[in-house]
Amino acid sequence: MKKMTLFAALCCAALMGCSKDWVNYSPMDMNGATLGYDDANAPKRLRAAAVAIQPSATNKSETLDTIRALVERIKSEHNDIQVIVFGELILEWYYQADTPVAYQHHMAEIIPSATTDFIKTLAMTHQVHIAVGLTELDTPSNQLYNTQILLRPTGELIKYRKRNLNETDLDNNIQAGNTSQIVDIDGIKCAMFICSDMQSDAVTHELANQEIDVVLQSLTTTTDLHTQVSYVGNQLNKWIVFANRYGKEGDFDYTGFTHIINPVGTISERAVGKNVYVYRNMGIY
Amino acid sequence: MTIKIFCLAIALLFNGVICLAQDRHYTFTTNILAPLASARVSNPTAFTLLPLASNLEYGFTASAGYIQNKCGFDARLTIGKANSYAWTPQLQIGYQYYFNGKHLDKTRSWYVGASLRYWDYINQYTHSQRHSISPNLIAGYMFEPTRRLIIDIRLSQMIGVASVSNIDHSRAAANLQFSPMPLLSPVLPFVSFNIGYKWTPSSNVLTTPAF
Repeated sequence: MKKMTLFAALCCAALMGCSKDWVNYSPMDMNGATLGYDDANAPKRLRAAAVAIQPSATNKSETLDTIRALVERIKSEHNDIQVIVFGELILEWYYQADTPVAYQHHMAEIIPSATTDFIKTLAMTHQVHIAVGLTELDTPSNQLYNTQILLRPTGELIKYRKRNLNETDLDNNIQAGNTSQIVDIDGIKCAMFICSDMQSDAVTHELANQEIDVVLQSLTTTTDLHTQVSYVGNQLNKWIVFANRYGKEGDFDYTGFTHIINPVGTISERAVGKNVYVYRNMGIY
Repeated sequence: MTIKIFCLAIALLFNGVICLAQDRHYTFTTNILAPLASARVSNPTAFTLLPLASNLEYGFTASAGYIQNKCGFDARLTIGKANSYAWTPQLQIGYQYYFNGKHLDKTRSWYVGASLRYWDYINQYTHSQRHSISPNLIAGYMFEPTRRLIIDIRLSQMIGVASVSNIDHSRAAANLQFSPMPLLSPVLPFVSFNIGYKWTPSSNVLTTPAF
């Protein structure tokens, strides 16, 4: 009897696994028909773009020039654009294998900086909100954060620090943030969001309880399994502006797949490649 | 393609109709990997791929079947979670045609068939539900290593899916679909390893169950 009880307990422990707050994705998260979503008559709208660029490993000016070129291109092609989202840690390589911590320290920004002022100027010039991911160096503590900044057309800077870190963040000696950041863009409530924040059960639950209209997600990923149904779309059931990166960085090869996902989990807009973007006039109910 | 699938379904149904009631067997099985598919496996690749070996069944599966001469029908009920926030209860009903396969006093047989799977993807945080139904082609091998113990290894291939959601302003859809992850593989069958019990009523004419 005791042996059976112990065996059952071990089985339960094995089945339950660790209590770590981490969400992995299953085929069932993408299994289903491509649902439609009628937002033509929605009372509110947000015009957004998600961009995938290839950052330079060492030349930040070159990367900023690429950002400027994409902002100008999007504005010329979609004059009504309200927010443009770029990828996670997009001012440099996501991971430099030789000296990861030293590399992140070297490429980190103390906010505000000349770099953030450059992006602020772009936002003010083109009257568009711009979200960009970068490594932040917090000077009092000398700690690194995986940060997403949002520059408003007024010049205001808002920052959000990634809360749910993955193994690469830990290898980069990144520290976790501890607060969410919800911003109002022209009457639309938007959550600032970085990559593996979506893989936190607690953050997922928190986001569901907040009355968010849109998630502005800067991320770095190679996990491209379906062109029409999104696992994170089925998880969050919000509009998601999903901006990735492109390029070969060491052992990682990023295709630049970038999406705008609707609240039923369908990928509404998709682009793959270098320096590409997707645009959507999202209807918000 | 649609016409070929329709003809195959008609052929299977025709074979089912002409089965004569002589040997009857009842089967009760469970999918041994379904609990693992629902477990919090830390490796993301393993977590993604393991359900392919559990027929995309998560948690606990109970299956009951009826085999009459060469024909079989079964129903599978699954209850469990695909991940920490999504419940995925499922109901599958299927038909199998068993080819002859006698070997001494052991019984074993290959089979082919079709099934219809219904599942509800319930996001417990957003309270959204996505109801889906999917026809599948199945093939498998059932054998009896010891008296009354059966092992059923089954391959299932989805051929389409229709879904509807409770999210406001959503529209139902139906797709010809052979994989839940088409960029991983455009055609992706699922496997299941089932173990259980076969009961043969004593009123059967033949003493040896004949698949």
